[in-house]
Amino acid sequence: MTPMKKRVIHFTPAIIIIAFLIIGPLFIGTALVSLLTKILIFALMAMSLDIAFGYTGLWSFGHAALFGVAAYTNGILIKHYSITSFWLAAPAGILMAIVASAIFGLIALRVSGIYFLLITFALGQLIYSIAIKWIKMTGGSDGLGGIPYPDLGFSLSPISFYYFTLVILSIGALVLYLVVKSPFGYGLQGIRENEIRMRTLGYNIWLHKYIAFLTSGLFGGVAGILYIHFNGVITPGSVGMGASGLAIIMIIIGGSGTLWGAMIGSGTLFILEYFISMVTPERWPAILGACFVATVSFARGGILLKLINLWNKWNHDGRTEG
Amino acid sequence: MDVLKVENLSQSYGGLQILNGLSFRLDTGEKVALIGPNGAGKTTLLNVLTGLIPPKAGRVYLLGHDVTKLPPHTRVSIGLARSFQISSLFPRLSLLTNVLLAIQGIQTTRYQMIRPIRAYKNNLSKARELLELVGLWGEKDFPITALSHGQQRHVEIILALASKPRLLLLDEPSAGLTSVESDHLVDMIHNLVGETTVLLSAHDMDLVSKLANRIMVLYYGQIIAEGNPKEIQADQKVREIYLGIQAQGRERKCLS
Amino acid sequence: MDILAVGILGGVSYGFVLFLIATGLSLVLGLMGIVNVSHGALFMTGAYMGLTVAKLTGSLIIGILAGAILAGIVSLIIERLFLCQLYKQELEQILVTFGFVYIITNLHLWIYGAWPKSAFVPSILSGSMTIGRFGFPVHRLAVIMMGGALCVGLWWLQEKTKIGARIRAGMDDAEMVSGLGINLRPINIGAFCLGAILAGFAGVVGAPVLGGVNLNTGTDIFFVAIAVCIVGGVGSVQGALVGAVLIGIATTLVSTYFPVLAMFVMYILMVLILIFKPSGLLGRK
Repeated sequence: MTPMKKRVIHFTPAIIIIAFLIIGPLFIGTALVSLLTKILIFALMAMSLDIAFGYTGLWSFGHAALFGVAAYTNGILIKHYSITSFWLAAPAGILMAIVASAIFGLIALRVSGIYFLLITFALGQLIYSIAIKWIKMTGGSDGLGGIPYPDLGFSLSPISFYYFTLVILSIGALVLYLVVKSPFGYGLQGIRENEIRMRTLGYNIWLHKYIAFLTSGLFGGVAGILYIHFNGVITPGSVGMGASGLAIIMIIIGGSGTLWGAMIGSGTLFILEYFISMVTPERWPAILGACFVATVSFARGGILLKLINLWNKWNHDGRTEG
Repeated sequence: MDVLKVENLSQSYGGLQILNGLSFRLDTGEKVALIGPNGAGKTTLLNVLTGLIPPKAGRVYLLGHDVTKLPPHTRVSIGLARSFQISSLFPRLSLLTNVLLAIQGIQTTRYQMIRPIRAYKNNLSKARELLELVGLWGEKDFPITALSHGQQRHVEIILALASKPRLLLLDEPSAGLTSVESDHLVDMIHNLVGETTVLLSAHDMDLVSKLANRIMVLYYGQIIAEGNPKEIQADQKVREIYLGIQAQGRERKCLS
Repeated sequence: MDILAVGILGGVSYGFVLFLIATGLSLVLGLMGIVNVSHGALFMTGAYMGLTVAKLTGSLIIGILAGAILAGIVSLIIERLFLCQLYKQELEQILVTFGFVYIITNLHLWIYGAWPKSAFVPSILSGSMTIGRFGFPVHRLAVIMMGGALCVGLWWLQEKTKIGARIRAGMDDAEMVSGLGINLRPINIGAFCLGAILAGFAGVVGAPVLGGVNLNTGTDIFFVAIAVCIVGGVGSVQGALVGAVLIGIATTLVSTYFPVLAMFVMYILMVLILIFKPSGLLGRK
């Protein structure tokens, strides 16, 4: 088997998925397009978290807060200040997400490990509390609703919004991929694997962690903007522990420390939810919890790892090495 | 010029005094060995010099700079490097990545976020050089966990050398190695260090006499003897300590 | 003046409820190095079961026992079936407890429905005593006394017993303790379950202080418990007590005068501590 053929086979699953994402929506119904859009948005959210969580080893349990800050900012500008242009409202939202990450990072990075976990957890809940209490701005528990598709100068339909999301996700994923393969990105993995050694090799690990945290917040904010336009409404529930937890679950189930894992995790979670909700929607959280516990206990590398192993095994059985 | 100057260094843990008013200097190019029984404070001293723990009193000067209060990464950028007694590598990353991380530790490259790491050809060829020195270029894509203990020790040393340091601190470089592996390591270090100033801590007098031209004997946080290998081996105080400990060791064996 | 007195007493009673939950969290954190994220859910488990049983039997004591024991059993299941498989993998253990929050909360929704559960106050404890112009509920006094007694008991356990000494040693240097031949596994399991039992107990006893429990109570109280651990310091009974009473009094007083801001008191305290003394007021490091 030639090396070229080997490469093609190696990348085939990815190619199939990408092809489906590009062409599929033209053939499936609106409901499924909606599901796919949701999967893409949360894939971006999970990927952004993975930079901090999976690659750097920062146990960030409050990621949804950054996602939500961008969404709420966007929503507030549209509803309360009539700034409906996407090109103004969206960057503002992302900027707020970066500001929030900057402040969170300064506070939380004073400690590490479990304490970092607790602080980010608590800071996430703080944002949630603000979202609930600051009724004048955030609409309280009802949230901000009636948010239309982004005003890009032309109108969007569910399908064109899907492709809009796909484009943004692709750009985001590409940038994150470059970051992850860069010297800085490998530095983050070094910090995860052995922080003390990194210090004695000359790395200012606080700075590395801080930049990673900001990057994570930036792309989380992008996902938040997509979300509020997709969902039409943003509520405190999308900002607190539940949403942060969802992001972590996606990363772990898919495979942490790999960008594809975030994508697979998002897809798996929402497709599972879709089918299980047809049978027993009320038990979905318990089932999700059980799947999560099972994955952590017995398949820590996540689905991606299992799939890769299976794929490699299938490829090497009964084939001669070229 | 003094590459390293230590003045009145003291360190304690709870009520235990580990370093007791240490003062010494290292000149350019010197190879100095730190010996002493376990618990004498060798690793603590190296940790203080590296910047991982602050001293309770005293000052550390690196190449003329007062680094006493500076963090490890600043000291490394000034010209320090350190290897660990227990191999401290990046287990799940590939061997090549381990070395690249070490090389870029003092470069601004480490903040580059867009170009892939493999595009930095200079660093790649430096990594190749280092790995070929220890014959591990073929294993460059293996995770560290796939290497033997001896191979990991070699990697441990070349990581410290990657930044071409002015001062190299080696903590028990041959820890856990067989005497054959140890000899090999000693030869490697001997060939590599060149003009670098080295401070190494060790147990093995053989290794010490091959690598060092000056020895400091550390006993309960103080330097009780200093000199070249011959002088130290003849020193009465040193013999008492080592024989005394050996005698204690024999006693304990009888009692247990 | 009497507003202040009532406020402070109220804050202390709330503080003791927090203390009961936070102690378990702090103990597990100091000893096993993990956060039991399901701790709040266990509080809720104890509350729901305990209150149901108490109302059925008319006895608060039986209710307390039922709630505490159930919480203990659930925690034992989590520990024996899952956590012990993940020895030394702290993140994974935390994630497992996190997954269990989903499972436990959803099961409660299934079994008990979405309606909140009101507290159970036995007749001897109902009624109030007058402080100036105000009435102060007797059951809150009972909480203060029970909490105080438990606090003393736990402190005695920590400082004066062999087990307590082993726990403190285990927190300082687990490897050394094992090296001395002391098996820390049963101590860890015991601490984990004791924490859960205390949380379950707090659920039944604290329900009247919280004004009843609902499916969100577990999560809400968990975050306050985190704040208590961060503010007071991890790993000691006295740390949990200081953090709990401080947050309890501060929150209650602020809610008397500035109700909207009450929720944020604990965050402000937390941030202040992180800036000035990251290890907590009575933290061990």
